[in-house]
Amino acid sequence: VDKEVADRSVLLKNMLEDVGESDKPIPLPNVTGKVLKKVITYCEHHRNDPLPQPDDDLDDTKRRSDDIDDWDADFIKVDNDQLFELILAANYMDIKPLLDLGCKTVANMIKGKTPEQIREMFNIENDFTPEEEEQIRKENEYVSLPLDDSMMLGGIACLLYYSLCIANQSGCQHYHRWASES
Amino acid sequence: MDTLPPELLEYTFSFVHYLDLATCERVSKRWHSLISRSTSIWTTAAIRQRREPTAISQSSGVTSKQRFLFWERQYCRHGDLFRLFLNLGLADSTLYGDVGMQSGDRQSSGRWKKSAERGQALKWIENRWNVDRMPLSVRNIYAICDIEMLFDVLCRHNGMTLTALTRLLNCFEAIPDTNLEALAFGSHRLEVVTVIEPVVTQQGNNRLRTLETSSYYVVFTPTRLYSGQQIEDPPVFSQSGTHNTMTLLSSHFSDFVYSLLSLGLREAESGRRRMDNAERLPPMLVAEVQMYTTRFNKAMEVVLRGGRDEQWEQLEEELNEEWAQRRSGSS
Repeated sequence: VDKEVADRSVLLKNMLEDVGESDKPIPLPNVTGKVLKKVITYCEHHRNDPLPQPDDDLDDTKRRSDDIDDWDADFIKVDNDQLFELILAANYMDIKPLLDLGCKTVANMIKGKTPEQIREMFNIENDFTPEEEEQIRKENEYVSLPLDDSMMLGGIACLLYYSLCIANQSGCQHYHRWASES
Repeated sequence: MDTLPPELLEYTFSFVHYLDLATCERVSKRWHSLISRSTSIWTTAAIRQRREPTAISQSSGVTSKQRFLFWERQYCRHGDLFRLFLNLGLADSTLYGDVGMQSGDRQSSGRWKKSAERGQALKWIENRWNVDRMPLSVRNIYAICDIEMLFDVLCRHNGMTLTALTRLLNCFEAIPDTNLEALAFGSHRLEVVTVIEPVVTQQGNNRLRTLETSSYYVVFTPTRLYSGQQIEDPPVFSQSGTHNTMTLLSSHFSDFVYSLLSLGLREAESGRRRMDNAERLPPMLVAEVQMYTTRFNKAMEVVLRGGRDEQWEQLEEELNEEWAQRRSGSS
């Protein structure tokens, strides 16, 4: 493998820097041959991409799952076992773009699914009791709140504030300022 | 999927939309535990949801699911009301993030600049404070405003409060599942309790409770603050369980909060602009705050020692007794 390709992996890059130029093989005990082949394919395709910077991790706005390009989307079309092996390998070899690709793919697989569908997809056992399930469902009830309520509350706010203006005989300049700002 | 170690699973969840996170929590106990306890997942979700880093997201340090839920709820449902209070000068743009104002506005305009409007609003609140008649969302906002006012008070009483705040911070940081929001005051970055929600207790009283963690409810009883009435019921301690720590702490903190709020309001009423140190406060108020601080410190010590069940029980007993004595003494 070219050094340029190997350098996509921070693990390999550091190892190569430590041992210097050598023909000796570098052991990667945690990665199977099949997965390694796939990883190399990925690294070869992205050999000219800019390397991720340490600050990238700090920018959480980049944590989106809908920005996978066509080649990557095609590359990552593998069965679940291989997908998770790829994620593990990317993590072990410290190839952040590949790790992100794997995680985004999983996130996209989860999108819009019910708990049952997710369990079935990933072969996960439901170890909740019905009471626990109900409790968690209640905890997250907020997510199904209708957003239209905000409009109603806005109306209440207007009325409240208008009442305040009148009650205090202070005119309604605040209301108008607020209304114009909003 | 469960072959992934927790850190990788957590990282994966950081790419999941918060609506789907709520679903993921219901998949298995492992997932639930991982998601609900994760700081980074909810921080990311909050930032991504807002699309741009706000003052709040930048000030992360103690972030939690509760925090995210709080913001999400407020942003989704109460945006207009928040904007109203922002304009009243009751609210703080840092506290309310990007709802209508930029965080820098506060620094340039000053928190008390709109003192006339604020005074009017406070009077209005005092005159019309009737929890039962208020829409839930409005009550919610009042409680949030209280917190905002509290920290204004705290800021102006540096000598007394910074020590207390340091203790508060240390204490809350020792608790993993905490309900905090970050605010910056000058060079001091504070963590503020804000996750609150109205609830009707079994006795039919309206109270505000901490949002989301349904196992505990205690906390804010604002009628005492505004009307000068005694709190009708002692602080509620939850049944023993995983939320004991937070419950006890919340109840103490709320007492502490409202003592300080009282100071702030009374000071505002009397027209004094500034007090430089605690010695200039009326002795009774100092005593009151000291009592709450002592109680709070007691709770904190237990927290920092690890909060074993028997210690909590003993402390609860002591505090309930103290509360009863105080009530009988004041009646």
